[in-house]
Amino acid sequence: MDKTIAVIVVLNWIAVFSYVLATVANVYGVLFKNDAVELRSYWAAWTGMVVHSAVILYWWRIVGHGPYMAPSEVLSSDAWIAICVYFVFSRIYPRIRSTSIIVFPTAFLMLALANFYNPGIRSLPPTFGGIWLVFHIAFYKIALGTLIIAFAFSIFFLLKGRSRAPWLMRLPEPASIDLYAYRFAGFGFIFWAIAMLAGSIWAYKSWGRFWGWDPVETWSLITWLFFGIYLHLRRFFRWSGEKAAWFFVFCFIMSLVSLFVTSHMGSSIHAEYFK
Amino acid sequence: MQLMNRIKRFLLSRTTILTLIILALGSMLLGSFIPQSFLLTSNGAAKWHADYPTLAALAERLGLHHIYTHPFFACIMLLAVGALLFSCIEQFKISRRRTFGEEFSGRKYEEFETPVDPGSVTSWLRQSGYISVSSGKKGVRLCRHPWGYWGNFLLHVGMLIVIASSLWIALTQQRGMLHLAVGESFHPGDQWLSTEKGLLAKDFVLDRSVRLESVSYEFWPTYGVKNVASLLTFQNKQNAGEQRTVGVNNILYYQGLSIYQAVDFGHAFYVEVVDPAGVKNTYQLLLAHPEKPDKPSYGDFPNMLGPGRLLRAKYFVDPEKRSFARENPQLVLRMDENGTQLGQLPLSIGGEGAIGRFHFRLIKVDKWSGLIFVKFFGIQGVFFGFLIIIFGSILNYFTPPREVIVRVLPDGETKISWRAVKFSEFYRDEFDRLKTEMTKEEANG
Repeated sequence: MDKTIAVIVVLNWIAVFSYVLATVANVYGVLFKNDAVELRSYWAAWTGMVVHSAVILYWWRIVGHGPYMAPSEVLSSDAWIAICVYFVFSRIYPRIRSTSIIVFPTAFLMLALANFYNPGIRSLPPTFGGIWLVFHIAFYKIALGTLIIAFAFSIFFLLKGRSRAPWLMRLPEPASIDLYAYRFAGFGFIFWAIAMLAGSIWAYKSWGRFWGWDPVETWSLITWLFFGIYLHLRRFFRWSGEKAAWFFVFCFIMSLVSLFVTSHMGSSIHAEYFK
Repeated sequence: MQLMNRIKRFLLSRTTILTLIILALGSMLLGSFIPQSFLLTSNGAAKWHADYPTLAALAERLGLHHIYTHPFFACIMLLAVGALLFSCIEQFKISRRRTFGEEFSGRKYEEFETPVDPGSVTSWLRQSGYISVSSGKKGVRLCRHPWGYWGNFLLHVGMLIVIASSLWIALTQQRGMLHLAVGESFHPGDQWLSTEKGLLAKDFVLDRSVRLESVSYEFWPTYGVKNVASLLTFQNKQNAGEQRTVGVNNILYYQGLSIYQAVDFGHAFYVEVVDPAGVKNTYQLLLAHPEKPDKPSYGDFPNMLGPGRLLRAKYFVDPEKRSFARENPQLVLRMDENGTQLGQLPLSIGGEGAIGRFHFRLIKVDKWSGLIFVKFFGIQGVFFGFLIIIFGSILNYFTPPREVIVRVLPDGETKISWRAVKFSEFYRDEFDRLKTEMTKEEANG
């Protein structure tokens, strides 16, 4: 077993190294407008993702369950989905490519952090089964991926308003950045809603109640309502620009608290699964 | 009528809606910081009172310890339902008008003129995924993803269905939890270990007896629980029995009841106690299954043997502490009197001994498991509402309609007006492609 874990750790570090390489090349390519280097950064990220995918699949086969039990599994799969979401959406909306400056380092930081956790095998609690659980977890991760992109756009907007650095001038126009932040916040809102609703169905199948005001459930709903307020303010109160960007940054922090902090609350039924 | 219109205007106001969301959010934030009574054990409640006496007293005075059943929260929900109801009606009208109307006001159109005849323009547009939605004096209106107009309506209808169904469930649900040992029966009218019922629901009384026949469980190699299942016999008044199995994630539906297997299980120790006065009683001590073979499971039974006396019990599944596969539970009893330990006594089945002036004998050991009985209707409404919400959100955000109006100008030119209802910058390429295509011939001369 020690040998298997050693292989996993080494492969994980190779993936981290690839993502670091992708980040460095990407930042250099964007800052100094070197298209060739920027293009190579995507190749490095792809390489990292291939290795990362192999690690996740291999570990899945060993432990017999998806990457959602141990903190190392959770962080690793979050990083993987963030990269996947970025690649999928950048194919549909090529103008989001510049968000790689935020997405790539986020991915390598999450994966590197995952490597510092004990990768020991966690057994699956009996209630951890069924397709609704898979939807529940997968959609939270996808929501996080889209929110990272929206966060990147909000940060770009705030930076553009404060600095005239040449690399910032190469980013899309502020109005366009603002719109992309709004759009991706909307995607995040939908994916978050699907995740929450799938979780509710899973809870009903496991415990006979679809909502129990458990701390993790409540914080997830609170976060979703904050995103709802953000979207309402933008749509009906015509919020845009800096005000909207700051409010989104706040909502994004709330989502991180909801995903990574509240699950450690001892009184939550979710708590035992994240120990 | 005027009053109705004022109510409607108030509930549909953007400020009202935003205020309601903020109030709901504020209530939930309060509910997450102030421990809610229905989530607390009696020990937890006592600790909260001891740690924060002023805050606990204030919370209780204001009813913040049951915020989700507080009249204030009920008012927010009521207003939210009213707002959603009016909003749904309005949005239905808007969606219908937008889908089938000839033209409507709103965001400005991008426009250009072309010598290409309207027939060729509409034909090209149809090939590009646009659908003709209406035609009239003002021209032909085509739309890409016209169903996107219904996204908001569906999203709000879904929320309305979920809230209404949840409210119905909250008012009418009946729920009871019990711990049964093998061979034990729970009869109609017996007291539940814990029970919940909605405001409109009667006390939860089963119409037949339930007997636990056996409990089975499995563990992972790391000793985590893999599965728990119970075999139950339901007995009606005619004493006819029906056997059914319930397991974790394997809900048992029986005669309108949903029965869930809880992950609580362990061993029930039947201990015969002879007190100093010579009175003999048999007690059932339910102890949860240990988490690991080398770690005991503990249970405290205060005042069971009289005021000021605390009987403490612990057990290992395997006395050699090696495995869960070898079941030979060994019980260790300890008794405290007014905070002073009187002694402790290890017991195997049939074994006996004394602590102080009390005499103990372990008669038998059986397994026990936790069962949850639920009776409510309306969950289908909740899940149907979820489906509608998801469907509406997807239509709303993933398929914003793009409209084109094609009309002939008096000079014979064709005027093309284009717009995306939402996020027009995202779909700007579509307009550019349309313009390039329709002015190509002109550009070529």
